[in-house]
Amino acid sequence: MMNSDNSWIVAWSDSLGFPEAMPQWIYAAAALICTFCFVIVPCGALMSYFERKLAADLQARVGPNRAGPAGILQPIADLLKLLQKESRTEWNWKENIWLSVHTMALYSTLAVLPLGSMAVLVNTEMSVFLPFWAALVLALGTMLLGLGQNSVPGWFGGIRVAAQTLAGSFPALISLLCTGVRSGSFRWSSLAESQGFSPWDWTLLANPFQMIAFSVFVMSGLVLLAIPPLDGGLSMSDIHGGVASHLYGRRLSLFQFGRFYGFFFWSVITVVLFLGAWDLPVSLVNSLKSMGAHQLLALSELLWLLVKTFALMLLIIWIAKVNSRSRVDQITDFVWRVLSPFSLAALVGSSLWAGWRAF
Amino acid sequence: MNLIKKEILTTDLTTWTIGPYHGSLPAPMRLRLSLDGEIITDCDVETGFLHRGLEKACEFQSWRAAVAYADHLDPECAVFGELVLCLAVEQLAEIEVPARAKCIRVILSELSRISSHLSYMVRMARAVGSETIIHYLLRDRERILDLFELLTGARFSINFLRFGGVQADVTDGFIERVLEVCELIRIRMKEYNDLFTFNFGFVKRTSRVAPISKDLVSFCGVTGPNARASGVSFDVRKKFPYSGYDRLDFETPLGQGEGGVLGDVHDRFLIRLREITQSMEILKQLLDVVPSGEYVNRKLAKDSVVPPGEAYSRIESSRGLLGCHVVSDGGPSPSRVQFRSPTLANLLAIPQIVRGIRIEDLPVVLASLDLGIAEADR
Amino acid sequence: MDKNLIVSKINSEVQGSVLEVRRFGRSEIFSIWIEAQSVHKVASVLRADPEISLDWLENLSVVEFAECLVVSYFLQSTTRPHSQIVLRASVVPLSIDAEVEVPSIQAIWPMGAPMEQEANELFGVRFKSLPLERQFQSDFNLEGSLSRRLLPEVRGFPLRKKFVK
Repeated sequence: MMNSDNSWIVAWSDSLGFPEAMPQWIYAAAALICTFCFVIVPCGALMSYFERKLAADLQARVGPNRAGPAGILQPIADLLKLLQKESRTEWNWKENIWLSVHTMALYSTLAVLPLGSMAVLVNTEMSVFLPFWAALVLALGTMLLGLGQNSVPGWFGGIRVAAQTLAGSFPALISLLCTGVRSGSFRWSSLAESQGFSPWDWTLLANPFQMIAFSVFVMSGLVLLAIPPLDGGLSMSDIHGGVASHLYGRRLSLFQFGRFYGFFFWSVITVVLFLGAWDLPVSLVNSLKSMGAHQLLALSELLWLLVKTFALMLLIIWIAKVNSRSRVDQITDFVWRVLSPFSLAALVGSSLWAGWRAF
Repeated sequence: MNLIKKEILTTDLTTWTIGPYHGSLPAPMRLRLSLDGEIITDCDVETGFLHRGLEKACEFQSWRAAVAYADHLDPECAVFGELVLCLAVEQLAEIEVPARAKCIRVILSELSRISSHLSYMVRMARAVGSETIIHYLLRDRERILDLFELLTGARFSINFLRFGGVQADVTDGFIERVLEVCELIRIRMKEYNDLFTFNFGFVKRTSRVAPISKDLVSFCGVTGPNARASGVSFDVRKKFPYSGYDRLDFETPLGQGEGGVLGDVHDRFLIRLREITQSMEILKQLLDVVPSGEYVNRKLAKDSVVPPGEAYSRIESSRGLLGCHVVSDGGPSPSRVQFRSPTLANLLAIPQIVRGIRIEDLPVVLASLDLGIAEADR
Repeated sequence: MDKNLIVSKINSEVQGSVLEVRRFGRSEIFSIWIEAQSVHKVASVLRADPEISLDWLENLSVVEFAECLVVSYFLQSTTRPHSQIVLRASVVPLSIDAEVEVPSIQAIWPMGAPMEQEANELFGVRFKSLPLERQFQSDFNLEGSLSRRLLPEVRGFPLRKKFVK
């Protein structure tokens, strides 16, 4: 399963001073932990800050402005507050089990998360689908978390999450296939290689069908992972947060961070599939490689990827803040009746396009 | 012996009790819902959690102090409670009200109608989960509360009306400020319509949801904007004019079924928007010619007693017909003050209109009825 | 609205129920005092007669006048403009804690249900519903609304004058 050429590992281990004979799983574990601590968590903090500032700007408010300059330390202050919160004394085994299933399903995608040409841990013909399956397991965990709460809001939250996931996964999967049709492979590396730095080289603008596939993929991802404004399963006004209605304190923050992570990884995947992945200008890549600055190259690739991801996420948050929450039956209706046919059309169209180009 | 037990999967109705405090409820009340899946099949409404003994409290106070209690009838729009009590007492004691005082009263009523309808829109936005518009609306409502503060010194419980007039004359620049705020809100309403009212998602959430039919309006005695949204043209300001509304020229907007069904949530929302416009028209007409003269009836002695007898007055509050039945035995305090609140009828309509809707729509429907539990429970 | 017409209609349908016709306070409206136990019958006349058709119970108020509980029904017609009267009936409670009974008008004016509930709780006027056939068919039913203002441990009727905590 591991990346066949280990050049990226060598490049990193050399600079960090690891002995060469280390077993590969140690590298893998270290890579996962580093990704989580140095990429995911800071991204979550930054994103929560950006979200609040953006929302405040939209809503004629100031937003966080006390902790640090312009409130930049607000996420840290929030974290410290949440850690101090007392947890509930009674032991709900169902809640614990499903919360851990939820968390494990979520973070298992870390291993397949593509964060740059030199940070792709699992790069196989199946790697694109792995986050997708993880999203399904995640939805299962979320649903059972809701159902295990023995309360009406939890039940409805769980059922709504299940309904949305069932609806959303079909168009998501079909539109996922469209990108493979263009690049000829589902490897992260070949998906990235088939695109380029300039937007004209992105899969999104390759042909009209890819554009449809992109919109379908983003929207069905929102449905699949119940991200606002399509989050009827966690609706606040009628079922008090649904699945999350009985979670609080650290557990709630764990759950909320997991939700951010789900949103984040779906956006990363969207960027990798449709928005030019981590591709930098070829001349820059070549000069960096000739200088032997592999770490610098990896970092700039990561940053470029994250900039695009954040832009996409902020766009979605913007839409969510301004629009009202949709009803679950309207969402599933929309997905089955509109998104699914469009995704099939996109698949057929992009296959024909690819076939025509091949001959 | 048949050892095989038949297992039957029962698909019973779920019951779910929400309240007295819950996110989907605009005010303290309790709902017992029977649910078939996510569809509400039946609903029991229990109210009374906000009973403060207001009517009894009035009986312990002097006539003058009863106004301060009437002010708390509906904390959101205090003027209406005061006005209806003052009108009843003035009718009972045959107190003349100077034209200027009437004008100030109407200005205050229309301003609080706008402010109440803006809060209504906030509650609707909150129910559908539209965050951004809430802040804009509250920002504009603040401007109206500022006007109240300028005139009366308080933002909500203004305690400003007196028998035979008002407590104080309008201050310098007040009228210009009112016009300024009207103009501001007129411009902003267009912005809000683009952002919220005609937003696809919002229209999807509100149209064809929980319509109140004309039959139900007459069955429950629904009044005010909710009745007008269903096409029933009843406005106390037109039918039983008070405080000089008969001299003003304004239209009563009616629901037109733009959402698909007459009297649905969307119509109820739109009617409030139109009433804001209508109130601003009224304000402009009034402010053009504010009559000069006294702001309170000076002939009225400070310790004058209300003669024995009774009177009933009604006004159009922001939620509907607000009535007040006042009885005096000639003593220093009221013998009985009874309020007729428009919300009781809306509460009666809830079980009839929520059958068949989904629980996701429940907060939207409850918010759309504009329930003033404070005045229903008293 | 012609008071003589109403009174004659009531008198022809329910013999001897009208006690007195008076102006309400200083207003133009007439109040018709009737026998308390005939409230339901008089109400159905007022509601059903096409020439009167007082179909809207705007307000129901209970007032204590000198030991006597007076129930006032403020009636209006939605079809006939400017027709309104106040129907009144008085009952005398036997003691401070004793309930009094008045026939319920819920079947005739359904909007009166919450008002009756309130009067029952705070004044101790029990509105006894009569097992009469439903005269005014409608698609709606009134079950399922309840207002309870007082805690269960409260005894007595707080809005009466002699109520002590």
